[in-house]
Amino acid sequence: MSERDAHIPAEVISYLLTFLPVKSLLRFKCVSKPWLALINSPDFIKNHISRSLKTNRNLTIILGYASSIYSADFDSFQDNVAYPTKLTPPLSPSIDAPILVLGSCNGLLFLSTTLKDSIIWNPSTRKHQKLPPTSIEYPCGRFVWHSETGFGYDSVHDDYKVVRVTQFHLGWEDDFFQNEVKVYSLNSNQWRKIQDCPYFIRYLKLGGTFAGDALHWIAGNSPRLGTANQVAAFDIRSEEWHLLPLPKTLAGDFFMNLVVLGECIGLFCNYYRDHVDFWVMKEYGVRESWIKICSVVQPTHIQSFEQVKPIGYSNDGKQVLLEQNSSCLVWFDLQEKSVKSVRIHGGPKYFNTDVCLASLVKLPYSDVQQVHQKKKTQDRGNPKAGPKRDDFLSSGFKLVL
Amino acid sequence: MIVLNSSDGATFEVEESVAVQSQTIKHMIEDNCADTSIPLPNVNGVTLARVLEYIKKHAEAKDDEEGLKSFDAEFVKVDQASLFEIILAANYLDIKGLLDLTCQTVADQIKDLTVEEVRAIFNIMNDFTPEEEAKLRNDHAWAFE
Repeated sequence: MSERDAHIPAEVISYLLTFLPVKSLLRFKCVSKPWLALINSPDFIKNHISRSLKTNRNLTIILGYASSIYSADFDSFQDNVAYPTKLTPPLSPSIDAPILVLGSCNGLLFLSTTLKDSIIWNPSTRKHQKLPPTSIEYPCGRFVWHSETGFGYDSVHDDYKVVRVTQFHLGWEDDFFQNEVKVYSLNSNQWRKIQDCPYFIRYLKLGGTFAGDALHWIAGNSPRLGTANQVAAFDIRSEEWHLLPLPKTLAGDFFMNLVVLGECIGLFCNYYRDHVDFWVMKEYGVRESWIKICSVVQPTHIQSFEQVKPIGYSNDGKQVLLEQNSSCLVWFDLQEKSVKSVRIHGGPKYFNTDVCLASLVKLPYSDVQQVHQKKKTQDRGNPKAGPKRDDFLSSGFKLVL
Repeated sequence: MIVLNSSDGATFEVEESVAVQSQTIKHMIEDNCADTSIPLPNVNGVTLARVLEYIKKHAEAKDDEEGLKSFDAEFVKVDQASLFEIILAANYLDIKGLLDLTCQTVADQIKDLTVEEVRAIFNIMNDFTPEEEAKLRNDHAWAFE
């Protein structure tokens, strides 16, 4: 090429590179030192994510079941086929402790087998950060309890956080409840206890729904069954709780679930065996911006279904990919109300789905942890080796399952 | 009508309503720098002609989504050197749609190339030592398969 190409300004190269997939960028780190610095820079990584979200590219669909998780490129879904390939996250699942996908944000997956075996993993760069275990402070007396977690990005502090809400209550007939909220920061690799949540989070779903800079769970004012469902929202930046206003015309008897569609929070309302409504909040927090994007009557449009979960829009925004009965994926045309199956080649027969971006987001402690892990394995082989490195998982933490 | 002068002295006439797709030209007009003609020292005649072809089509067929899609697909069927020229022009003239279209095209062309091939295209010197480069390749070995 002529000398003209040597004069491509750096900002144009930077802009051009945001259009590349992650695998190419990982290779092109070797092109030159300036390219390495560019591809590693936080601004570039953020711009690459924006580009992917804008163009609906670099997306994968994660199919998880039992001890395996698979990933399929979203591009092929546009042609109604999927080719899931098996992922190997650095976890040790078992029959009693399957892999749970508890969150997916900007290319990072929050995975867990048990409470003590949790990681944040970037499947595109294959780096991970292991969460230190943190105790649960149980109140006195008899009680029932459950933990809900969520994972999301704090844009104010440029940090990724895991939020764990542990609820204690006296059963489903009693109003009393208490909870403990802890927040884990990727940047500090530490857990912190924060103020309680004023709502009772219902044990309905794994993983909070992240949208509008907040994590959302189905909640109520008390554990008592039959009380109205509300949506509790935790602002991941300010770490404060509030309730998300629901559509004014929402009525009737239904099972409600939260989803993210595009970047908007959505409601999936299942009027059991009658019909299903999908609502999307176009402008986060603005009650009037709720739009019912479609209503699906069963069994006319989609065969009798128990569970339908919207996953994402097609490139032209006219169709929505749906997970149906945890066993198949279909494109639903919003206008025609028609359905097209996606042929899945390989992968698990039953699955939960999540969307995962392919990104370059870094795990700040991954290299440090890998070195410690290596040293631990080496020390085990040589009892005369230097001081133990086990203190990384500090003895100050009480390990509770 | 706006008059544009390319770096190599060619002159082009274009409607103001079309020309303002270029944010650069739009600001020049607003700042009253466009009395007689606008000099564009960073863009040669051939490239400017192509750019004008793009913005004219996108102005007249604004609502024809399908038509624009096929126009864009044909528009980028040029040699890589020309694509780079259009990228630089679109960047200088600040025409977002054209910049995104051409960048995506070039990105798709280079994404599966080897490191050496990319260096050749961008005329870049390898400033890594063999050891440094080996370590980098090792870090993400699977990306090279």
